[in-house]
Amino acid sequence: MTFKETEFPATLKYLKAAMAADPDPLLIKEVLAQIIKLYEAVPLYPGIANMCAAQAVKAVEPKDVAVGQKIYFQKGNVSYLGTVAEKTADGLKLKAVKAAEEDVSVSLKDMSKVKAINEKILEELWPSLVFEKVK
Amino acid sequence: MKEQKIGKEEFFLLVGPAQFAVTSGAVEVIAARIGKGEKLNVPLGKRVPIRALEDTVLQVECEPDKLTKMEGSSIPAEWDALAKRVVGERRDGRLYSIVVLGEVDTGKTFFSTYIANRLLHHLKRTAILDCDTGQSDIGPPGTFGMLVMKKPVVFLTEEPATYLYMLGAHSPGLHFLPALTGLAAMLEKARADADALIIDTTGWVQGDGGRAIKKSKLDIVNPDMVVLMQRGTELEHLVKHLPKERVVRLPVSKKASSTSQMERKSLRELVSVRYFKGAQKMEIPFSRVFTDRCYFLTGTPLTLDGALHAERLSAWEGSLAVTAKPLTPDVSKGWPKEIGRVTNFVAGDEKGLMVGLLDDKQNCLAIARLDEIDFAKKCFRLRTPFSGSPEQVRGIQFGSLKLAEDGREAGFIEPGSI
Repeated sequence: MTFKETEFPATLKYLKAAMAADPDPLLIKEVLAQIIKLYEAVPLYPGIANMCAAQAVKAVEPKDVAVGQKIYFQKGNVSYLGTVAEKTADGLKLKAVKAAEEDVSVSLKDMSKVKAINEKILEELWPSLVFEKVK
Repeated sequence: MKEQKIGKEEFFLLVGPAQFAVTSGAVEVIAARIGKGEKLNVPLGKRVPIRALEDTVLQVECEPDKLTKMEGSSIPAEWDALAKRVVGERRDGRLYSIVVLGEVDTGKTFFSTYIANRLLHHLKRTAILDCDTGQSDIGPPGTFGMLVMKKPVVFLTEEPATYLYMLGAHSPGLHFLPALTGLAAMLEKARADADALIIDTTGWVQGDGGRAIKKSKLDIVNPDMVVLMQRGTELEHLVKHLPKERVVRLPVSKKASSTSQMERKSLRELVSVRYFKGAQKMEIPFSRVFTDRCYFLTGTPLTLDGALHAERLSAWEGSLAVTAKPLTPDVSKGWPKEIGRVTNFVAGDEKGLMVGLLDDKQNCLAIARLDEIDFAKKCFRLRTPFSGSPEQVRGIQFGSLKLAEDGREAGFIEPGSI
C-alpha cells in the first residue's frame, strides 16, 4: 500500500518547505497559526486545510500591500508582522505589530521579503465550508 | 398552463421549475412512462428529456422558453443496449451489480436512474445505491441511501430511501472504514431484495484517497459491470485489474452541467431541509441505548470534581471528561493520576450533531439532529423525522456533520472528540 489515508504527511512537507524557504520563527509561527485555524474550521477536510494553508502566505511586492492586510516583512535584520493601518505612495504604518513594541512606520523601499497573510483564504477557495455558529 | 402537442418519437427538453400533465397519449422521461392522467413536477435545477411514445397532448406549466424541441433523443442508443446486455447476462437467484464511476458532474445519477428504469421493464426488483454522500439523491446528505424500486422513478430525490446507512460526512475522506462497512452492509440487503443493483459513487476518483477507496469498493462489490463515465481517460487507472468485458466506457454528455461549490451546498441543503421538515423532538435515556463511533458511554463511570460527566476509557485511552468550560489545570489538579490522560469535551459542542438512530440489528432507522446531551438527566435530546416509537431506537451512532434545526449545514465536529 503506497496510498496515504491521512493528510498529515502533506502538512509536514508543507511545513518543511516553509521552513526551508524562510526560517524566521516569526513567520513560521504565523504559518502554524494559519494551519491550525484552517484545520479547526474544517476538521473533516485536512486536505482542503492544507491546500488553503499553502496559499495563505504569499510573497508580494511592497507596493502591492493593501490597508487592512496582514503582512510580514523584514527591514534590515528585524522582521515584523502586523496589519497595515495606513499606506501612502512611499510607505505604510503597521498596527498590532509583533517583534516591535509600538506601531511602526516604514518606507516601502526599506521592506524586503514581504509576505501577505490571507486570513480569509477558506472563504475565497472553499466558501461552502464556512458556517455560522450553531445556535 | 399551455397545451403542447408532441408527435410520436418526437423529443423535447423541459427545464424546471415546471410541471406537465398528460391529457392524451404517453411520454417517457428518463425511461419512466408517464401516461394519460399522470403528472410530473420538474424541480428547480433539474431538466428532463421528454420522448413521446405515441401522439401525445400535454398541459405544460413552465417559464417561457423552458420547453424546447430537440432534433432527436439526448439518450445515447448504447444505454439501451447496455440495459439489454444486463438482462441477458443476469442469472436467476444472483444479484447483478453495476458500479458507475465518474468525476463530479458527469451525469452518473441521471445514467443510474435511466438504466434502473429501463431494467424495471424486464426485472421485477431493481435497486439503486447512492453512495454520493456529498450530493445525495436517495436519503439525506451524509448517508448512503438505497432505493429498491417498485416502479420507474424520474427523480430519486422524490422517493424515500428503502434503506439508509449513516456515513456522517459529505466525503469518505476521514471515514474510509465506515464507508466500506456501509457498502458491504447495503450490498447484503441488495442481495436479499433485488435482482440488479446500480451503485452510484462519489466523484472522488483521483489521488491517494480516491484511488484507495474506489479500488476497495470495486474489490468488495466485485461487480458484473463497471461503467466509466469519462471525458477522456481519467478513470482508466481504476479498472486496470478488471477483465475487459466487464468495463463499459461511456462519454460524458455535453448536456451534463457543472455545479459550483455553493450550488452543490444549496442542493444538499434542499434535500436535508426537506428531510427534516416536520421533524419531532425525541428524548432517549442513556440507559436505553448503546453509542457508536464515539468514546462517550463506552467506559466505566467516574466521578470527578468539576466535570458534568466522566468515564474511564480502555487502558491507554485514559478518561473522557465533559466540562461546562474548557478544562483548566485548576479544575483537574485534584483528579487522581490513575485516570490517565484526559480527553476533554465541552458540553454544548455536540449541539447540532448529525446522528443515526439504530435498531437492535444496527440498521439505520432514521437520521436525527442532536439538540443536546443532558448530562444531568442522562438523556439525549434529538430532533428527527423518525415516526416510529423511541423504544425502537437501540443505538445512537455519532456523525461528524453539524446541522441547524431546519437541516441546513452548520459545520463539523472533530472526529474522536467525544
